[in-house]
Amino acid sequence: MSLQLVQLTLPSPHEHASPIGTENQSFNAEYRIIETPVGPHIFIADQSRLYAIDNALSHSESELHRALGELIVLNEERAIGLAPIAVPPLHSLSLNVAQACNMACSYCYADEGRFGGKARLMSEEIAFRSIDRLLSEAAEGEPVVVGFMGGEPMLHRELVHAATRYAASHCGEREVRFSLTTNGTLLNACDVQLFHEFPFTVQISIDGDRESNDLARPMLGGGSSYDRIIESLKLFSIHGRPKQLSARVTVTPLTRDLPSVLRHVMSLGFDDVGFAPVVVSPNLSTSFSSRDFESFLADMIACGRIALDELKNGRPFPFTNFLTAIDEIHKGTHRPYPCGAGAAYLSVNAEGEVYACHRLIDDPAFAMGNVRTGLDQESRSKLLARMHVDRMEPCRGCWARYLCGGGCYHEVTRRGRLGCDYIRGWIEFCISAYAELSSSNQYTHFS
Amino acid sequence: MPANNSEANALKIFPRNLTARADHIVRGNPTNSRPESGVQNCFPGLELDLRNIEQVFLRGLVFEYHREDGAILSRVGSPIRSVTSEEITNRPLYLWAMYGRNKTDDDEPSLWGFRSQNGLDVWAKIHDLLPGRVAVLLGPAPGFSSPLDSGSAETLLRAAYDNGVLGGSDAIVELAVREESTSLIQYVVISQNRSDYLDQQGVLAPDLFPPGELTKSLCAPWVYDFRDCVCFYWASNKPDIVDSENGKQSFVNFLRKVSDRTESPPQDVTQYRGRRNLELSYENMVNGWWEKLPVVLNDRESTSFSVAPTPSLTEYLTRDQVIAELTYLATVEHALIVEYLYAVYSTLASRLPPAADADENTRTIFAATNEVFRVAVDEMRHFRWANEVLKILGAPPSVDRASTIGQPPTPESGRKLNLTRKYISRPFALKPLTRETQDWFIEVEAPSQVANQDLDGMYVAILESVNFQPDLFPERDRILPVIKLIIDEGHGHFNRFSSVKRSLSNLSESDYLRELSTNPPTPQQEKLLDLCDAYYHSIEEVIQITFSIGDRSGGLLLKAAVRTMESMHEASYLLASQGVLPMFRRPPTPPTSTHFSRQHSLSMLKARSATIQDSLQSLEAIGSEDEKQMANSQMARTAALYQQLQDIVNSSDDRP
Repeated sequence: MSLQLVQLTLPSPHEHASPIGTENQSFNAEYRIIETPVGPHIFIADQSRLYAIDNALSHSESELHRALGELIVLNEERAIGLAPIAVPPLHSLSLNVAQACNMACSYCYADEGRFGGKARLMSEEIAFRSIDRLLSEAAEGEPVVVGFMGGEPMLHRELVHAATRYAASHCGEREVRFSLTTNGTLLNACDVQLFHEFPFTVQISIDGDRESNDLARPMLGGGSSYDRIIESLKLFSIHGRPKQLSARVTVTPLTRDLPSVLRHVMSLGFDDVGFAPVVVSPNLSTSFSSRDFESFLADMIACGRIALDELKNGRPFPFTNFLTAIDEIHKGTHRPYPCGAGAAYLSVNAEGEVYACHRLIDDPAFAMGNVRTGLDQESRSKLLARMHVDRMEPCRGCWARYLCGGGCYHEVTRRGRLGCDYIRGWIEFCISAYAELSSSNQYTHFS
Repeated sequence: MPANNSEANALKIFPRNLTARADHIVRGNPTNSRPESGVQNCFPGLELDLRNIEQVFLRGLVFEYHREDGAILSRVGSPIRSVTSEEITNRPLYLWAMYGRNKTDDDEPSLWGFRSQNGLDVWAKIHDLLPGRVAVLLGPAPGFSSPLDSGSAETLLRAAYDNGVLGGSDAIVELAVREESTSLIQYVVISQNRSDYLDQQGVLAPDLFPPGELTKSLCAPWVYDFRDCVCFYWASNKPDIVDSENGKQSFVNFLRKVSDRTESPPQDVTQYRGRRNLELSYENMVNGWWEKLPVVLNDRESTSFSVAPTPSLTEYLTRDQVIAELTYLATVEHALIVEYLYAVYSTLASRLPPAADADENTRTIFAATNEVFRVAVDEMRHFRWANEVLKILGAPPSVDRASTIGQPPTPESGRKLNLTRKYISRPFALKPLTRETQDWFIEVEAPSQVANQDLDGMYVAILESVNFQPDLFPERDRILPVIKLIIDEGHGHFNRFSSVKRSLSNLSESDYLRELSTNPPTPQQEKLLDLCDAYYHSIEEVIQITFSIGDRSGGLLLKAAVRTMESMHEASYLLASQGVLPMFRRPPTPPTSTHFSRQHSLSMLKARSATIQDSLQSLEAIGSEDEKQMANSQMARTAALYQQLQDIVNSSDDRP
């Protein structure tokens, strides 16, 4: 089969040292050649396109440049332009219902939920107003997501229940979904029934087996948080599961043997398991340095290989970091932002002040209005203009920028970009794995 | 083909993920257009008849599967030597048994006997054959009726298969056994590799399939499967149910198998099989009936069909005559709208659909009345389209009401007089929906494909004049679709009025018509009558303003006309419920065919708004509770509407 490439033809890479839009930009930032077990591939940043190429093509510089000239577009025809996106309608709003916690995790970015301030609980009035605000700001007829965060949201159980029912009864024809991030130590039967009755995604933080979890995640008053989580999981089997029950493993430089951790947590019966490295923490020994990322990458790839083998053999393996990446590569996801923070996603603190995301609660630089008086569209718009990945260094010179989006605002503003090599390495591994999976007969997810 | 399966020296690039795939235009047909991707869950299929692909699954042999008694060898040629084409001409050979590997059992070859199987069953087995060696047993009668017992047949087939495998992919093993005395074939065994129907480039081998070979048995009137297609399937030109040619029999099966299709009454058979037996068979269809089936026009069979001779150039209308004709026809549409509406208000039907538990008569009356109302709404659209065509032709709008429907042209009208033509020439009249009125509605909407016959024919004359004189009508491409639509919808109106008549035929007129008051209208009724007239005139004015301003109003003005129409409808029903029907009286100075200036439009709107508000206010003062309520809500609505109208007109410029 011959392919007619219909991108506009450009001078060879040697001839143009230049520009996307009007600014200098490296041609190298537009593609990446990736060797995979099923042959070499070219990844094109624009639209995150992935092509398998001949060995011969990858070894012929002139042919390669000709092909790249056809694949790469450096003008206004690119999918992502320099203009920031317009502020979209709100889709998701998280409520920090309890800015307090019953645990004392060594790495907690949120200062045990207080975000550096006093412990406090959200009032019912603020919660209801937040939901009203979400419903009024969302696009007509589109589904919305109400999130419950903290601190530990279940410290304010009554409000979680009340707000859920309030949202469900005030959404009219619109679909409303819920998400809850919890340490899983306080759940009771009523809570579990609530999560089963309404469309909830429940994410429980757990860091491995009993020993390693309890070391990293001690209870404030002593006792094993692991045991309590196991008790909570039993409740789900008795009273019904939520729509999605996820485990979030927080990884610190002290975490050992990620594949074992992954297998252990997966064995507990979660629908999926994902890892998140600690980048911002009041405790330096528990947050990643640039060097720590090297070994973290090796560990992640080890986990990824396990997932790849399982999937290639037609068995499920819900390792979130891997599956999400594979799915985005398959779809060719490309975006100039790392997440929806400040755009379609916002977060409300206990007093009703709105921030770009749950991690940026009480940070004046990311204040986005108030649920009572309205959202601050100008701040949202400015954030989107400021954080466009093509406007940031060193991001705009990176081939992986439209898959990465430029990094978590919370981490970048506090620690800079320590993990870029890790991110590129992980994406490169996942692209290779995707190439393998999509040419495997056993894995039919993409066909 | 993925790049990792690279061929020597070919520099390939293969889009791997979705965005890469979406970014390419690939030359050639998509994979789903390959023959083996054709529809296989119904026969003969959509793209091609898959049975025709397997006709040539063995070289030198052509099989035929479109039969009930199995698969026969219909042609034979090189490289087959054991059988000649003369031999099978009068004495066809049937495929009795086959030995080979198929998709479901691909390790070891299997044996299939085809005794008492139809052609499709045999084909299905062949279709599933894997590439490679196949041995077949053929004999001179349907099914397996050879002197061989089945064990010997299997042994023979195995031997032919195994010998063929040893001989290599091109080897052909043939054995023909004949009766000693007559030399007639008793059976034949042939073993070959299954032939590839695609060539090396993946396209159909042209030497195996001449053009038309794969599609020859598709659903088309000249092939047998026409029988199977029902309406809304792909043979959209085959009706299921028709009226007989003489009109005496309604709802008869188009494929009915009776010698006299006009006179023989249809049998009432509900079971599927029973009905099928009364229909023309596949054989009937193939053997000439496809040519004998009558043409169906307007649901009625017709054995004679003549195309009217194209009028000579001198018969075409000039540009001015087309404009004059349309100017007149728009006024006819106007007149018909009003006649239909009046008939609507004359029945006992409520404005809104009756409750679900309403009795059958109530539902019938509503349905029939609503049908008339819907035709009236269609006519409003025709009225608008006629004016749009006038606009395209640069002529002023025509919104007046014709005093005579089907009027012969007067010299001053500019219309062309055709002496051969029949003019209906019926004065405009408001009549309740009596049977006589129903007949009139049917008559006036009667279709005519012939230019210059009836009203419909006037549009046909315009259509032909525009169509065949492109030099006179540079706007031809914009005009033709609109005129065609008017003609086509007119045909629908004829049928719909006919069905109105049918459904009301079981009721007496007094069952479904309102009893009209014989007393002079009360003061309140006078006010309502005035209000209806004010709305009516308002609609005329708004439409004339619309076509004076043209597209620049962005459709808002027409929307305003529709809303005014709704108000008028509401008031008319209120009036009708008291036994008084709206009179649709002409304004003191009826509209003329001119462009309105902005200033004129504005003053007209102001005056009309005041008239309507006056009527509403007096109604509110002296009316019943219902009337007061309506007046109240319409006052606010009208005020807002007129404000909007004035804003639109104000923001337009004065160009005609």
